[in-house]
Amino acid sequence: MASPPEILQGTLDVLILKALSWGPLHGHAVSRVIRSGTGTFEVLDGSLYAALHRLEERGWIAGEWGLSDKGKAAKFYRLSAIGRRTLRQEAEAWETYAAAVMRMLAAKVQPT
Amino acid sequence: MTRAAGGPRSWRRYLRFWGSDIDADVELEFLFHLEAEIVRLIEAGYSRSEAERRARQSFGDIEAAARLCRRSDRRRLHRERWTERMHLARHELRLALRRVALHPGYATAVVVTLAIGIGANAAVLSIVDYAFLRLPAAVRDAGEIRRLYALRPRVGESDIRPDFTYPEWRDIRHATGAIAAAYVPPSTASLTLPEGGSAPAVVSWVDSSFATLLGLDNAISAGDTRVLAGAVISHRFWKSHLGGDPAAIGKALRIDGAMIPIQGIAPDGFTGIDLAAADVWLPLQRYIVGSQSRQEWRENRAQPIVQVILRVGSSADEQRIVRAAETEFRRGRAAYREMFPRREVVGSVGDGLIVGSVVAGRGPMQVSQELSIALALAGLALMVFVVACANVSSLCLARASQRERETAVRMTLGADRMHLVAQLVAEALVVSAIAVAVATIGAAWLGTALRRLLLPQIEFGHPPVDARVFGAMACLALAGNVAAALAPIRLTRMSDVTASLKGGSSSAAPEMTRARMIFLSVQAALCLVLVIGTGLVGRSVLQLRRVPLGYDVARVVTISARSFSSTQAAMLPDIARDARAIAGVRAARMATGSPFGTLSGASGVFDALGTPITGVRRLSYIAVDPGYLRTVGTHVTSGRSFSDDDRAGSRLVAIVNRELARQAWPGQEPLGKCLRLEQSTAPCLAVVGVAENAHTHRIVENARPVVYVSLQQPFLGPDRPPMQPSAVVVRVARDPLAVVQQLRSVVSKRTAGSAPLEVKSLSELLAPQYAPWYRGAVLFGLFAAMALVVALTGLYGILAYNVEVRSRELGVRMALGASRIRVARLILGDAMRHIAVGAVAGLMIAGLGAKLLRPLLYEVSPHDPAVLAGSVAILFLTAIVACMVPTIRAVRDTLRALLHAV
Repeated sequence: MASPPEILQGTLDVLILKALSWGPLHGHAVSRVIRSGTGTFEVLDGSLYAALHRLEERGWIAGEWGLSDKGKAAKFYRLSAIGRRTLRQEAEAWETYAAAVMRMLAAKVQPT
Repeated sequence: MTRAAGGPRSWRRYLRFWGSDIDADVELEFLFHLEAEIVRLIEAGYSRSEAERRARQSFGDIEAAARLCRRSDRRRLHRERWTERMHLARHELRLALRRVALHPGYATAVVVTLAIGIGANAAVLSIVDYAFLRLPAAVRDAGEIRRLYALRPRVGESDIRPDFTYPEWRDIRHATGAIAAAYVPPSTASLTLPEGGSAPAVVSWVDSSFATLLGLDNAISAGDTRVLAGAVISHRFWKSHLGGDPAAIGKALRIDGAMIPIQGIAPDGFTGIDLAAADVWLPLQRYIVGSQSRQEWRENRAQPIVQVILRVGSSADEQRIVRAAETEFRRGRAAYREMFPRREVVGSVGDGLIVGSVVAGRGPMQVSQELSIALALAGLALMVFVVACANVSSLCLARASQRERETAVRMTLGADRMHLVAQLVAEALVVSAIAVAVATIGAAWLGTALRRLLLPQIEFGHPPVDARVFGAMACLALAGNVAAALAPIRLTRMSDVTASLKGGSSSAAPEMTRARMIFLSVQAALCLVLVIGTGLVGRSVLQLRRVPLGYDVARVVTISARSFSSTQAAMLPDIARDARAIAGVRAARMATGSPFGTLSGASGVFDALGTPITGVRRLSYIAVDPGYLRTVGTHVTSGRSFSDDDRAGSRLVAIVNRELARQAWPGQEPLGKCLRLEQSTAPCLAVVGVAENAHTHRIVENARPVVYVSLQQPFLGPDRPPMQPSAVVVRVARDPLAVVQQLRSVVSKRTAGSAPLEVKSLSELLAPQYAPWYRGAVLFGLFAAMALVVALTGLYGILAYNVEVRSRELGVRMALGASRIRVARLILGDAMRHIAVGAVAGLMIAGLGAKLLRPLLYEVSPHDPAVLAGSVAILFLTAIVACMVPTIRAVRDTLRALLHAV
C-alpha cells in the first residue's frame, strides 16, 4: 500500500478554514472532516492543533469553550469575518492553480 | 503529554478569575481530542490499548504541538490585551472630551489657570536658567572653564570686575601659559559681508588660544585655528547670512575698515561663553580701541578691555595657577602705581585675583539690576504657579463635590474603581493637554517679551523658552492636576455613598470644603505677597522720580564727544554759536564735561597753606562757561554763580557743591575759603558760591564732591595749558525732541561726520538708567495681576459652588425670616475670614522675604506701612468684587432657594 501523499505547506490552513465554513467545530471534529473530506491526506493531529492556534492568533478563526454532544468541555472554533474572506481568496487561488496544472496534465498533444 | 486521558484538570478552569490559563487550556483541549479519538476507535472495533496506541500515533509529537500552541496563544493574548486597553483609552478620551465640552466654564478656568502658571514659569525660569545655571554650549568640559576677576580696591570700596588691561593680561599669561585666553566681550558692530551689503553682528575679539582652550579646534571646520588670523563665524550666522555656503571660507568680512578673511565656522550651537550670543570671533591682534593705535591700547595700563578665562583641572590646580597669576598681576599694578602715584589710593585690602564661574551671573560680581529682577521674577513666577496649582486643586475639589453623587451612583451600579480612576485621569489629561498647548504659545510669547523688556541689549542665541524647563513645568502641572482630579475617588468612601444617594451632603463634603478653604487662604497669602512686592517696587520708582538730580532734566540737551580729541574741541565754540541761533534754544554753554558724562578727577586738593584737605574723597572738577550752571539747572544755593567778569587775569574763583563743602569744611562757612587743585603749588581758587549736589554718573549714587571752575581762567596755574571744552550743554524752551533733531544737523554740518559727537537730551541719556526700575515695576505688576486673576477665578468658583451647596440651608434661613443682608453677610463672612487668614500669612511671608526684595527697592522700607495697608485693601476689594456675583445670586434667588428647601 502506497503511503498517503504529504500535505503541501499552507494547504492545511485552507482545509481548516473550509472545514469551519459549515459551522463551529472542535479540533477533533475538524480532523475528522478533513480526513473524510479529502480521503487521501493523512494529517498529524498535533500539526492540526498547531495550525488551529496559529489561525486563531491571526484572527482568522475564533475559539470558545463549550460542551461537546457528550457533555464534555471542548474548545470550539468558528470562522471570523476575516477568515471567511481569506477562505474565499484562497479557494479562488487554488482553483486557478489546480485548473492550470490540470490543463497541462490533461493535454493530449504537446502545446505549442 | 504523559498523563492518561482520565482525570483532566478541568477544575483549574473554574478557579481562573483573571485571564486565561494557557497551559491548562491546551492540555484540556488535547485530552478531549485523545479521549474522543479513543472512543471512536473502540467503536470501530479496536481494543482499548490498540485504540490508545493509534490515537497517540495519529497525534504525532504531543509536547512539540503543545509548545507551538502555547506560543501562539501567548502572542494572541498579549495583542488582545493591548487592543482592549487602546480601545478603552479611546473610549475614555472621547467621553472626557464630551464632558469637558459640557462644562466649558470649568475647563476654561483650569486651562487659563494652568496655562498662566506653566507659561509664566517656563518663560522666567528659562531666562534664569540661561543667565545663572547653564554652562556654555558646545564647549568641551565646560565645567572646567573659569573666569578671572580683578579685585582693585579703592577708597572705601572694593571693585570686582572681570576686565583687565592688555598689559595685565600679558602678565597673567606669562604666569599661566596656554591654559588661559583673553577676549573682548561681545558687542554689536556693523559688518560688511563678502557679497556686499552690511549686517549687524555681535562681535567678540579673541586671543589665539581662545578656540583651543574651549576645545573647539577640531569642531571648527576648515583652517588651522591654533593660529587665529582670520574670523570664525557662528554656525547660525553662516546659515543665515552666508546661506550655509562652504565656499564662504576664505572670503573677507569688513569691520571698521579692516578686511578680515573667514577662517572657519564654529560648531553648531556654539555662541560664545557669555549670555549675549556672539556671531563672529575676530583676532584680538587686530582689535582697535577708539582712536588709539594698536600699539597704544596694548600698552595702556589704565583702560581694562579684555576678559580672561582659564581651564583648570582640579581645585588644587586652580589655586596654584591663580596664585602665580596674582603675583604677576600685583607686580604690574605696583609698577603702574609707581608711574602714576596719585591716580589711585590703595585701601586696606590689596589687589587680587578672584576665580569665578564662566557663567557671569553666578558671581563673584554683584548681579546686575536686570538679573536681580529676573531672580525676583522667578520667585514671583513660582508663586503664581503655586497659586495656579492651588486654584486648580480647589476647582477640581469643587467639581469633585458636584460629581460626588454621580460617582456614588456609578459605584452602586457596580462601576469598577479602576474604571472611574481611568475616567477622571482621562478628563484631567484632556484639560491639562489643552492647557499645555495654550501655555506653549503663551510661554513663547511671554519669553520673547520678557527678554525684550528685561535684557534688551542682549542678543540671545537660544529659543525664548527652554524645552527642558517647559517640560518640567508641564509635567509638574500635569501631575498636580491628575492628583487633584482623583479627589472624588479618594473622598467617596463607600459609607458616603448612601448619604450621597439620599441627596444630602456626605461626610466627605466638610473635608472637601475645608481643603478648598485652605487653598483659598494659600492663594490669598501669595497674592498679597505679590501685591505688596508690586507696591514696594512701584513706590521705589515714584521715589526715584522724586530724587532731585540737580538738573532741569526736561530742558537740557548735551552735545558731547565719546572720546576726547582736540579737533572736536576746536569745533565746539562754533557748534555752541550755531545752537544759540536755533529757535527754542535759550542758552548753549561749553564745559569740560557734561551731566552724566565725563568729569576730571582731581588727584589732590589743598588749602591756602598748601596742606592737603583731608576728608575729601574722589574729588571731581569741571571747567565751565559762565552761565553753565543756569543752563543745566543746577542751583547756586549761596554766594554767586560765575559771571563774564571771571576771566583770565581776574581773581581765580570756584564754586563748590554742598558735598565738597561738607567734606572739606564741616560746620564752617565755605564762602571765601581757598582751595588748590591737583598740586599744593597750584593757584588759590576763592570759593564764591555753593551749588546744590548734582548727580554725576548715576541716578542712584552717593553725593560726590565736585568743584566748578571757570573755563576762562588758568585754575591749575599759568604754566599749565588751559583745559579744552569737550561738551556743549543746551537749554531749550520747549520739548527738547524737536531741538535735538536740529542740533544733530548743526553738529553733522560742522563736523562733516568726521568726529563722533553725541547729541542727546538729558531725559534720553537717563532713560537706560530708569528703564530697569520701570521694567521691574511693570513686570512685578504683571505677575501680581496674573496671580490676582488666577486667585479671583478660584475664589469666584468656590463661592459660586458654596452658594449652590448651601442653597437649601439659605432658603430655610430666609423662610425663617433671615434678612437678605444677613444672608449676604453669612456668605461673604465665610470667604472673608479665610481671606483674612491668608492676609495675615501673606504679611508674615512678605516680612520674611523682605530682604530678598531689597536690591529692587529705593528709599522704601520693605515694611512700608502705606504699601502694606494698601495691598491688604486691594486684596480685600478684589475679593469682594469676586464674591459679588455669587452673593447677589444667592440673595436674589430666594425663590429658588425656598423651592429647594421644600
